[in-house]
Amino acid sequence: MNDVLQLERCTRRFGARVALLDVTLRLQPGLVGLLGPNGAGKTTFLRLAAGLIRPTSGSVRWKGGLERRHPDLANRIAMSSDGDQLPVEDTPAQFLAMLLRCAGLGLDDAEGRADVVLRRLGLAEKVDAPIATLSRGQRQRVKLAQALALPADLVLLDEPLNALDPVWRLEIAGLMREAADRGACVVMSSHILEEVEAVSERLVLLYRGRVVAAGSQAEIRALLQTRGTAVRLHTSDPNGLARALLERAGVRVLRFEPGALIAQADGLGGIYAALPPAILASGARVTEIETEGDDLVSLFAALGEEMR
Amino acid sequence: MSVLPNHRADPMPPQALPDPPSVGAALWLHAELHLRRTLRLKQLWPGLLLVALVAAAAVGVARASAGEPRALLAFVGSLGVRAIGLIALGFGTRALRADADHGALSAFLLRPRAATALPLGRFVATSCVVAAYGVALVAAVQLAALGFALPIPWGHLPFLLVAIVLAAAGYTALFMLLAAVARPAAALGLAWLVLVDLGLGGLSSRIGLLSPGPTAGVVMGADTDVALFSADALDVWLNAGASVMVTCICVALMTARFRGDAPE
Repeated sequence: MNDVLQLERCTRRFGARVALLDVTLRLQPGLVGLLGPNGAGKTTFLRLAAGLIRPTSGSVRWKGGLERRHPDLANRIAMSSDGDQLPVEDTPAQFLAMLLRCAGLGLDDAEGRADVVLRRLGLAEKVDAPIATLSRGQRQRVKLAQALALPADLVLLDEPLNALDPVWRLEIAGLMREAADRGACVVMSSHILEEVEAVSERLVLLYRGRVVAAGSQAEIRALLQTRGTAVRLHTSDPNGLARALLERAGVRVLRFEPGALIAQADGLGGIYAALPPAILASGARVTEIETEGDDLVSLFAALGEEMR
Repeated sequence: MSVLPNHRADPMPPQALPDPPSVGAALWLHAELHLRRTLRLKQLWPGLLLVALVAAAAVGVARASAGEPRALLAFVGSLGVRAIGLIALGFGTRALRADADHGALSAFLLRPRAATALPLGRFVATSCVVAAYGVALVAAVQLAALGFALPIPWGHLPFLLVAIVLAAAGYTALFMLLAAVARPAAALGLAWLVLVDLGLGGLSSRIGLLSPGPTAGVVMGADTDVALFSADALDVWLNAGASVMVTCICVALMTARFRGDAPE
């Protein structure tokens, strides 16, 4: 009942392209990291969650079942889009005050609030400078300012830490935590695992439009641990090394290649523990060890395959 | 976990969530904000240049017509309405595409009532700006007439003003609709002006009824001697009605578009 956002079997197509496929997800207050490689459907997910686009099939509900245009949702959803998306001829103060007036604040209140928020985000000297003259990091902070200016219940941030220097990454992460502490569901997207892990309590992994995993950091870590790491071993004696490896518990030889074999063991680093004794026992000369599919895209691809 | 340690930033100063504005207030607000953003010299000068060019051309027509005011009126009725079309093309497509291309439209559309108030408010503001250009254009032409001691057809001016308002609203609604549904709205709008207004509209009066240009042209060119409630004035009323209908349909479609997916 505490769900801020509910997606039920949501699919979103753009022509023939499927951007999101059969996504079912419930998000509660807290910090949620939306992780996926480029093109995974993160921005589509956020636009759907913001109510800016509708699902081709399935349903999206907010705050325990409300539809997007329900009066109780007014000003309850905020979003910062990805990219350099600001009206460059306006100043940050003009832009933010305009949005705040549209939210319902009077002229003086809107201008006052815009000034306070922009100062909090380190833009005191730039409030009256045209946005066109701002650096990428400053523009990013203007975008975040409009998303954080009002105490929304659902705050959707698309790649919020892009273009920020380390100091402002910390500051923005702190502000996101503050919003979550007062009961908001803050969703931040990224394609960088460490970035999302460091900020979020809960992770949602998207790959090719599907949610391939969702849960707490500990749950996702456990999921990763269960996946064995595969290595390609370039050796003078693939058969001898394979025999020695197969004597170790939990080790599998996946296939042979000319002058090499691909082996896998249970657990994230299991293969590396099994390798030295197997090499010593076989007497094979190993010239190169390559880790197969160690990058994030390979991980998502593997999770996606497992889902099928 | 070491990239972003558990840092506590200075808190954001508190702010209560405001009550959303009513639909009417939101519409007025969007219109006012858009008007403020539009009335900048950087955006105004292309239209002003066009008005100046038309006025200069009117001087030429006035000289050539040698004291015949109808030639000047015919000139305004044909070229003037095309100029309004071009001005509306610039302002109408920009009213939505500028923010959509920047991606800032999403930020506006997340505000309450914006799905209805934003397109309607911007339509009202843009129509006013385009109509103001139309009035400036007529005023410039009449000044040119004065300069050449031509008699000003005062009786015809109400027709001109009605036609300007119709053309401004119609063209603005049409081009904003194009901007709401397609990225290359300016190219599509230009194609509309050339194909429908100049081409097909010139060949068939029925096709001309589909576009604000030809309909406004008929109203502009109405004979000043015709009483408005006589049978001869039917054509004027029919065209004015068609222009209003085209405007309403375009505005309704544009608003419906905003109630669906946000334009990108």
